Amino acid sequence: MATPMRKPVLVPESDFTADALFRTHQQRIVRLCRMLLGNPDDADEVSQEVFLKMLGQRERGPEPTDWRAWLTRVAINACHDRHRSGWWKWWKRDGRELLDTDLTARDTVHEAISHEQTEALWRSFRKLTPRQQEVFVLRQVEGWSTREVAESLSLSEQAVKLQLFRAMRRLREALRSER
Amino acid sequence: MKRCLDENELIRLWTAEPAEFPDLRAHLAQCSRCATGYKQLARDAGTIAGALTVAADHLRWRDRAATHGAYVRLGNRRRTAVIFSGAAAFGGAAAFALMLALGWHPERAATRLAQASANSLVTNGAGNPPASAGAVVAAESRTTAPLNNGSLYEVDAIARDPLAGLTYGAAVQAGNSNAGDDLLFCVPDDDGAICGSSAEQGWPII
Repeated sequence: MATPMRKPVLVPESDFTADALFRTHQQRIVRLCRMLLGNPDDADEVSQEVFLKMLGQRERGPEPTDWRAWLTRVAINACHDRHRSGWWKWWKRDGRELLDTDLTARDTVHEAISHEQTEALWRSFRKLTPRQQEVFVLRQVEGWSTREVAESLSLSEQAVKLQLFRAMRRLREALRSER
Repeated sequence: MKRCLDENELIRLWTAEPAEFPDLRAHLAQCSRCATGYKQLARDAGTIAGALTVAADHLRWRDRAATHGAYVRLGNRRRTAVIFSGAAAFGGAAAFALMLALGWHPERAATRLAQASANSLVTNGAGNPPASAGAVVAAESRTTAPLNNGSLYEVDAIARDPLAGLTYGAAVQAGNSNAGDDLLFCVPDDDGAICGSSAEQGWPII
């Protein structure tokens, strides 16, 4: 099983200032929204909404013990709402493709897979159902456990596994198709 | 378990908790081929997650996406226009069909006029056919079909010479055989003709 990659938290996040919380999580939340929405503009808007809610939560209290999980959960819900509210906007945008293939960053991932594979993976990921995307992102990218994902998305653990199974099968097909 | 695991079983094993599927895990511990497949699957999962993460970080609109989006929007508008036009055409056709079903049938004003005047006789105040009207009939008869009963020659005469304003039918040639009828008096108009009976015009009926 893939090893979850969780960021070690040395200082209790409740001690962070709002600015520090923003700087710590902003990039991750934007990336999460981009993955779930597939649209950089909407992702920026939604991530700003998420941090506005974070400010409100800090003012109202009580502060969550784990800001990372709280922000992720709020971001997932906000993306979900965006999917629902803007259905017709999505319909109008169906012809706009998203990935800038000029991926100049060099890291192990890019050395491991080709440009075409990355693009094929992205397209395949966009074709997954929103639920499959959420499960895959939370489980594989955020490194949550099956139980945490199930609680966050109000699903049974079995349903989480099933969604992950389907997502993984399709993504692996896409990866292999470009090999 | 001796049979090797297929891909679905490997993925199911990968999504499961460590305590689940003990028989599959036992096979995995013994079979190097399946173990290799499982490790490859785990590697693929990491590769996919990493690739998607980097792709999301570099996500932005392509230049050509704007153009393509314009095509899509144009296509949407065209589609909308076609839908509305089709709906309007269908509505019109349905209304026409309904009118036909209710007994209405299309009839040109000229046809109505010709039929109405076929057996009519127009006279002047003294009760004699006006000579000029006869001239019109003669003139028209040169260019139109022979003056059969019910023909439309008189309608053409009216359309070409509003002053003629009077229509003749076969009854004219038949020597006022229908004298005594309430005659039809017609004047050409944009819609074809305006007709009224001779009684309405205050003319005496012979």
